[in-house]
Amino acid sequence: MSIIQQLVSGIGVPNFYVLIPEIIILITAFVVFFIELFGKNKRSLITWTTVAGLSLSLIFTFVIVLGILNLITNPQILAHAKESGFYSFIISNFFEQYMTLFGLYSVDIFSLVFKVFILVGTLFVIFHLRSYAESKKTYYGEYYYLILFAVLGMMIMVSSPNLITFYIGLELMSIAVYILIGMYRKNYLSKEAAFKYLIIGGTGTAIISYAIALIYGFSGKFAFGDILKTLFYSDQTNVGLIGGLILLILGLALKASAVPMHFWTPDAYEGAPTPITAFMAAPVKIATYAVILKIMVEAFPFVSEQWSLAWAILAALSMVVGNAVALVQKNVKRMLAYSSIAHTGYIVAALAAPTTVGFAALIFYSLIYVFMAVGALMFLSLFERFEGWTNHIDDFKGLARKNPWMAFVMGAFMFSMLGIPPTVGFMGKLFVFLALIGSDIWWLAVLLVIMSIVSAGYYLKVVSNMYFYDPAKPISFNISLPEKLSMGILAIIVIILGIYPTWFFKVSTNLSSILISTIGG
Amino acid sequence: MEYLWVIPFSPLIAFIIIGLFGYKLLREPLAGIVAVIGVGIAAIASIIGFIDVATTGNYYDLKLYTWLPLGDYKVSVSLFWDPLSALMTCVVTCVSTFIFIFATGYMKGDPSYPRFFAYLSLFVFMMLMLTLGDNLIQLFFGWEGVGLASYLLIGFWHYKKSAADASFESFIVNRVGDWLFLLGVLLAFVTFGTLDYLDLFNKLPEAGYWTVTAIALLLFGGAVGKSAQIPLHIWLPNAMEGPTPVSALIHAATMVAAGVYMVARVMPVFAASDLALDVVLFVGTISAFLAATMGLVQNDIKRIIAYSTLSQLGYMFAAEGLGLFGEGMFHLASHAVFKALLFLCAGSVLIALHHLLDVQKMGQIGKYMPITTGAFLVGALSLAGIPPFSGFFSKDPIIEGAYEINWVVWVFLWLGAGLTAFYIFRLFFLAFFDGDRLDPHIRKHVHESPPQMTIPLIVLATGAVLLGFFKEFFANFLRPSLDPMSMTFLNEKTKILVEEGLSRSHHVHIHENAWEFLVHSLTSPLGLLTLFTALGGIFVAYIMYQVKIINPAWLTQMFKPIYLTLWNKWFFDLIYYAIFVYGYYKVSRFLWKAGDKIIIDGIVHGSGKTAIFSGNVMKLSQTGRISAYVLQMAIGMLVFLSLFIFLT
Amino acid sequence: MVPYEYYVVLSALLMVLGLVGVIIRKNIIAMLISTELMLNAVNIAFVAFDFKLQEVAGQVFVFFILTIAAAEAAVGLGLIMAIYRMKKDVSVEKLTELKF
Repeated sequence: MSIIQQLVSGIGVPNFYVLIPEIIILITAFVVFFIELFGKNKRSLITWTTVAGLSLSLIFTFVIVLGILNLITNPQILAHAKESGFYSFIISNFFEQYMTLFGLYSVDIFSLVFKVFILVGTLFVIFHLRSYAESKKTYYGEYYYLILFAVLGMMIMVSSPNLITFYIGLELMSIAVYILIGMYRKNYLSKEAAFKYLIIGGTGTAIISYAIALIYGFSGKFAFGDILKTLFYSDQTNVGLIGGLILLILGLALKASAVPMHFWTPDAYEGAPTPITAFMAAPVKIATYAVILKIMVEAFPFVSEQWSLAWAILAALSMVVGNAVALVQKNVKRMLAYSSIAHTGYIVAALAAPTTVGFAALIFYSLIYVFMAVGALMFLSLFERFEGWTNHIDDFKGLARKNPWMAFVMGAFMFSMLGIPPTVGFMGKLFVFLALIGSDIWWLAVLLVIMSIVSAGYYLKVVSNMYFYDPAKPISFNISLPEKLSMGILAIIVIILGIYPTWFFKVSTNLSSILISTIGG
Repeated sequence: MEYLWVIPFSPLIAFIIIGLFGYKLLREPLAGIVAVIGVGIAAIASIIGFIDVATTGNYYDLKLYTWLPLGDYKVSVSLFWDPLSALMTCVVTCVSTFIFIFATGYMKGDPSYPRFFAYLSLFVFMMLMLTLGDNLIQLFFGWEGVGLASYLLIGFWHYKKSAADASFESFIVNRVGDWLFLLGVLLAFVTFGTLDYLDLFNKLPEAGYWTVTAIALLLFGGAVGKSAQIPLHIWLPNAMEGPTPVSALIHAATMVAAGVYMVARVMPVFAASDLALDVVLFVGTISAFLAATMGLVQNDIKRIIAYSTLSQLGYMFAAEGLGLFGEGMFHLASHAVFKALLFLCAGSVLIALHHLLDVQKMGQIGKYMPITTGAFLVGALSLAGIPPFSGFFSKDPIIEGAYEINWVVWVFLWLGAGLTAFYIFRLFFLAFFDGDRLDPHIRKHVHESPPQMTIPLIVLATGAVLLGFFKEFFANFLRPSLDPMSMTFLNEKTKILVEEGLSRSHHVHIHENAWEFLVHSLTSPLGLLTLFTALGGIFVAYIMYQVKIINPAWLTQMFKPIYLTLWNKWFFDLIYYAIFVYGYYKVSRFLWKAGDKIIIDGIVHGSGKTAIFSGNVMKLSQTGRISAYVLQMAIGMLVFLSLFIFLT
Repeated sequence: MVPYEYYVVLSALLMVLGLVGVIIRKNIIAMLISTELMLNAVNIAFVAFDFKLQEVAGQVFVFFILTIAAAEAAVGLGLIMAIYRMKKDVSVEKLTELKF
């Protein structure tokens, strides 16, 4: 009998091992916490402990994806896998849904894939965090374990099979993020941004809790599957439930920063330390998109008419407001904040088409969005370290002359966000567009195209400033090779996925069909 | 046939190598050599593939991987190798190879030498993706890719304002065509549910006439933009701001011919609609004639050749509109050779004269540059359609065919041929002979170009002399791709449909054998008329610019309105400038009705302003005050809640 | 006995009151308290619904909300302290440097 089995049987929770990635994150967070409290000369130790914890968690997530733990712990499955061949075993494992903590936590391929991307995005942020914090004289060990707690929150969130788990995960994530935004030493803007997000996010929490209360009150259940059954057996025009659903949508829209609940986004993004902005823009965002999709599909598939319309309106508003206001921004960090509002619009637009194709488009776009958002914001974080760089659009002038590699990298992110082939952003928009057309939602599809064209106004401005102007300020940039490499990896991912998106698209299509197949299960 | 994959990917690998190591490791000579090797390998592979297709007559449809699944249909990255694509690929790779070699000499000493070759290799890769695709999406990908490469290369010397402007202009004008093209592709997909050529052709009989017409016309809209036909032609002459090898490769031999290739590629779609063929014919004819007239009065050596490119592309489209697809493609191949030759000669002259472009300031170069002069003469005779040069064998059949199908078209093409001969020899006499108008400072340095520039000239000149005699071979070679009865991949219904569509050219009989055609031309009145028109054009140029019996200045005084019209390029630039640059302030002189003003102002000017204005307005909601934020959120929530609760 | 709807209406009223409080209060501490008020309104709603459903799950949720409200208040007060140290003021009017 292996140690893991003993542990599992000791705790008495079936399928406990699927929690290993989360437990690793939790333990790492506490380890980092204690190193920070008691350690000496601890800075690189903290960074590497965090990186190690995240990587280990990533590895175990993969292990669960492949069902290897299942193989080790269960001899019957091992025998069966040997019979059917490992490849087909791994494929069949993709359809497995592991429930643990007595039905309060579910791990399936959908949540695992999102966990992988959350962890990867966080790794890129952690990698650049220290040099930024030290150059800005705002280093704290707290960044690391708060980020880890936020990651834990996200992982709980995407694995939630009911509204309670979802709520805990969401709040764990949100509260950690409130603190992270305000961690900029002696910077008033950071405090203001954090307080604004705290108040508005707190309002959002209240809205979500009230929505949960209403849903609970009129269905008597918290679990997604049970809510679905109640909706199925009762008449669908229950005002309380619809009200609860709409409030829940608005609360989630607030966390995903969709218009008209977006007001905290530009301020919080601008005030936060830039790596934290990247963290908020990429891993936090995609966890939110994932959970939006999960709740909508698993709990409310029978009222999809209502929520698809609601998300369509939110998406349309987000695209219009996000792009139009981004067009007149001069600060690139704030522009990217508005652009992230616009991207929320593009992504949730996929929910207007409640079909397999639409969900696949949402998953695909969310996954690729990690690379673009982390890339563009980490670029700013790298350059902010240099004296004289203010993120103003004019600071980009002549960058191609001074640092051609970084200019190319930023160009790739901008083109991808704009959606020009051969970058992957084009694919994301194309899939959303096709999904919308497939469901005959032409107005939103046309709006998406028009707004993408409008967005060219500000993305291309960055590119043209980099390539067609002479340097305006005498700033010297020395960016180390590992930093260049890590940014290059992101840019190359963005381009290669644009040329070869097949694999990603298969993953998202399969995820979406698996998601649908689990309804009511 | 898997080795064919080498063709597109060897230039791509060259691009990646130069892009990564160009400035650090390779630098001046090596970057060029890598590019030449990359494209050379592609040329050799495509010739091997060409021979295979020529001997067996097979076609191959190789799929690399599925790029993106659209429902049931899967877009794949693929390689479609049939006579048509083999011919186009060979033209692209072979002409590119010589131009690349030429460019290693031409770009000598340029600080951005590696960048130039990286862009050129990228261009060749994109062009090959365009020619080799088996579906419209890949074609479109290549289409956009060559547009991008062209944009980058026109603006290669971006510190020159004119170059930056020209590249921007070409980008904008091409986008107009590309949007039409994309709409055509979307419509085709909606109609047929597939974009693979072969499936699409075989589903043609199922679609309605007007749908097919719309698809064909939208696709042709893309071709008009890419091949610079009237009314989207204005970017091409200005694109001459790029380095001369770029003008030769992209804006003469290959990219601009992509439109012609595309129409031939989806020939069954066009053949299924009379109207579409008529539009192709009309646009081609008008372009062939108008561009020739515009070329008469230009003084910039490269622009004269650019207008001749416009005009010759017009001939190709006219041939396709007449249903003579084989002749059109043959003219494409021969044009690629002699036009590349003319441009490279111009490049050689420019190097000798330190980038002096005005032909009025040249003269007597022939003395100093014998090889260039000889090569230019071959190219000019070929362009003018004088036997036995290749232009004669490829252009005259089009004019002759036009006579038997539609005499109006014939008149324009015939006049165009005379004008062509005139303006190219005007350039020839002014630049290479005539009096000595060269600046003495420049004249001191005039010299023949180095071997890596003259050898490509000699090779291309030989090609321009010999290619015409392979007329019969090319006609037979292209038959499995362009003759509906020999197209093995079509089903019976489609064959009948396409056959009917091409019936306008059925009664035309053109001698396929080059000798027979030559003899026929020299004996029939029609052939002689065409020939003497061309010779007449040369003769007029001779007496005006060499012996100067007629004074050109006097002529311009005599026919001032005509001269001004031509000098201003039929006012196209002016009109577009007025419409697109100055918005309605200038347009109001042309368009009196207030409604038009509002519409044009609204579309051209207004959209950008509206976006910025609405951005500035919406920005105001972000007041910075939490109270205001929460209030707006609360209002939004109220609206949403009431909307949905009353809705249900 | 008071029907449960009354409690739900009360909770809704408290919720709106909290929202209005966030909108109209000038003092950022009062703002924070208003958000707490909203969360407590939710607690009443949960208890009322449990009363209707004859269950306890909602009351379990109340404990989570209480915990989260406490965490939020702690973070909020910390931020207010930091803001007060820098600006010597807790008025919302001062909190408007990030805008447009």
